[in-house]
Amino acid sequence: MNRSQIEARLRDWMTSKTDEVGDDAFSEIALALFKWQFDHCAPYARFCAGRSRTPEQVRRWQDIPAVPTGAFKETDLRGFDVADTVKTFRTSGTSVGPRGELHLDTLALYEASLLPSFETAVLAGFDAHQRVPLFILAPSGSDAPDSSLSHMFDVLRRERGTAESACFIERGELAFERLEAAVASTSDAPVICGTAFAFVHWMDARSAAGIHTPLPAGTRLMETGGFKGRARERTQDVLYREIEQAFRVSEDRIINQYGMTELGSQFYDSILATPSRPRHKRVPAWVRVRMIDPLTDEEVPHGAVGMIQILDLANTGSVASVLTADLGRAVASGFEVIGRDPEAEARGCSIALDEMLGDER
Amino acid sequence: MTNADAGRAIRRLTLAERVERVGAALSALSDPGGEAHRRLLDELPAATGFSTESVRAGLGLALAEFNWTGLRRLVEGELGAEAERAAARAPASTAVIPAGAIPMPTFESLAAPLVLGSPVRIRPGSRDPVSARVFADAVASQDASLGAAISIVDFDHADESAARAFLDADAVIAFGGDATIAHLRRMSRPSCRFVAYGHRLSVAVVSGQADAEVAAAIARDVSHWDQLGCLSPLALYVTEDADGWSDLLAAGLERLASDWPRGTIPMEAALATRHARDEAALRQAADPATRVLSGRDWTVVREADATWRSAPLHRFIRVHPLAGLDALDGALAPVASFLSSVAAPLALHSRLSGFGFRRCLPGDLQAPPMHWNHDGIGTLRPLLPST
Repeated sequence: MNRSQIEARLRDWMTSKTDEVGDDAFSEIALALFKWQFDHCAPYARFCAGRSRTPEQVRRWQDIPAVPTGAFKETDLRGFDVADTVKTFRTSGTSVGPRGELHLDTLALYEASLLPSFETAVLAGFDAHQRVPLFILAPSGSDAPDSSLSHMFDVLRRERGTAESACFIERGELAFERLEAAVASTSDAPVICGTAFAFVHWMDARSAAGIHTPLPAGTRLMETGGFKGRARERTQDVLYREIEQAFRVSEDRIINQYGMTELGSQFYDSILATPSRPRHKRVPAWVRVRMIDPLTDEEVPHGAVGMIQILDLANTGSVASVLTADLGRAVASGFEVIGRDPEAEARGCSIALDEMLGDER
Repeated sequence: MTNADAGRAIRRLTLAERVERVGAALSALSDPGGEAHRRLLDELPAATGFSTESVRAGLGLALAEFNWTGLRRLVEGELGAEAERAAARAPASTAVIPAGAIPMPTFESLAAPLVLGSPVRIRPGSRDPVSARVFADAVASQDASLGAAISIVDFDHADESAARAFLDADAVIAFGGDATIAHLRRMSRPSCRFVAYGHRLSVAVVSGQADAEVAAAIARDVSHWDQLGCLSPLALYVTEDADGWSDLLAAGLERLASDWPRGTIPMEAALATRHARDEAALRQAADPATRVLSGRDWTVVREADATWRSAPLHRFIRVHPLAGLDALDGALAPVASFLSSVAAPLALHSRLSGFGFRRCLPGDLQAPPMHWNHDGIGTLRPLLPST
């Protein structure tokens, strides 16, 4: 099976909004994609060979070697000619060191994958082609051309947004007055998407301006990204309480997105899609998520905490199996992301460089 | 007994008497036949997560100079001939907030105020509830008034009013990361002598062909306290034979993995180690100059260049080739302000005088004498008003 055939199958799954793909079908595509990536990405091939995990040796998708997200900073994990690159997404800036890069030779699959996940999780209950006001608390793709998040929001606005949909971060600043005017004038309940930190800024600006009016009834909020390295750090619980108080948007209409530049797919909270179940991250049909014990490399028992390893078949042009820097726990129909223990390294007085230099993953 | 009473009682002793008795208590900590040493060996592993063998090895090395002689040298070195007069200006009270699970900073930060004649209170960290109590008992067995001048205080971490009351002292000795230090400073009296020991790191530097004895000594430096201390080397810089040094270092770490087994490792740290190993393996896949050597509980990464990289700790060391010693300045630039100590063969010490606060031989990193210039500020000096 060549890459075009693999991508055709994936697009079928994505456009049909398949909730679940059986293990046999998933395994067939996953192993074919692994072989293609092994054959076309030399560093990845040597990495796999060094672990005795070549396509000839790997029989199960679970055994496809994962690369750590940090590897995207220094190793060119690209399965195509550099000249064929149409887009490079980069991780958020750090004070030192290189930024992670995901190179793409086509945006078609990337864009095909992001829509059904967003529509199911955030636009749950809307008609399939109904457009909604999408207010984005992030720069536009033209302002931040290497931001995968901005690109995603551009696609969402293009595909599902009304004419009043817009971005409200300009030159790194929240366009507060324009945003408030947009919220006040919209006739339909908006979907407001942005980074968690942008929501904090918005709340601060409202508070400073003495604005306490609730957002329109039915408003949905989607927030993403954490606070690592930010001066005003808070937990998700605290953030959601503050949002409820500031905007009168109940917690069950706030959806967190877990995503990263190195992946082609995103994971959204289930709270709107399956409100009867406890909040968890939904896994798209073309993705498998496992929790791994970093010491043994074995999958931890269901429900136990492990490091999150993601096999994202939408990552066709680079490496599909990615080891994240986050801890998580599998739940019945998805997973939860577990915050890191800030005291985890407090046994000593030495320090990892990430902390010293305020590195943001 | 009130703090003032305790202060008056210990200031009735001369400085020399306080040095002698606190020094005797320090000696008791390392006396293999003594109660204090036995308690440390019995209680620290479970409390801290270090293996018993690691605790025994770490204490054996580090406490060798924690005694009357070491304390006397500290007093002479920092206070000079006018020591008694200087001690008369000791703070009326000292509060200590230790960090982590390595016991030596706790011993030192309790001993220093007592020697100066300042009653001291400490809130032991959750990761080491043992060391302060063992030391307080050892001091009390030498001198009741000195023992009574140590208060061990427990309060909930989130109890801000209790924390403020605890920190309401003439001097505060605080250990921890930047955020912790800043928080404690804000909660302390503006007028107090605030002595902060922030997070630090150390490195080793060698020249010439790989030497098994030197590599074994560096492996011990890495393995002591599972590399979690600020005196633990995170990187080895070599001017030649990076592969040979890496192989010998790996062999040393493998031996020590059984002699001094690594202690428990939190999931976050295991994850960081796994990432660092796999990232290096991918660099190796792109450029074979990088090599990853590892055992179950240790990692050596032979890097292709001198670029500083993050350090997952827990017995993970990088070996960086240097074009020459002159290149060390650039290599360490990203961490220069965090550098504590440099281990190197004696012949290199004069060339390394500008790096960190201390040069020592490989194998001695974790055993600074009591009179070392701790983080460039010392131990007793910062507790006294400047003259």
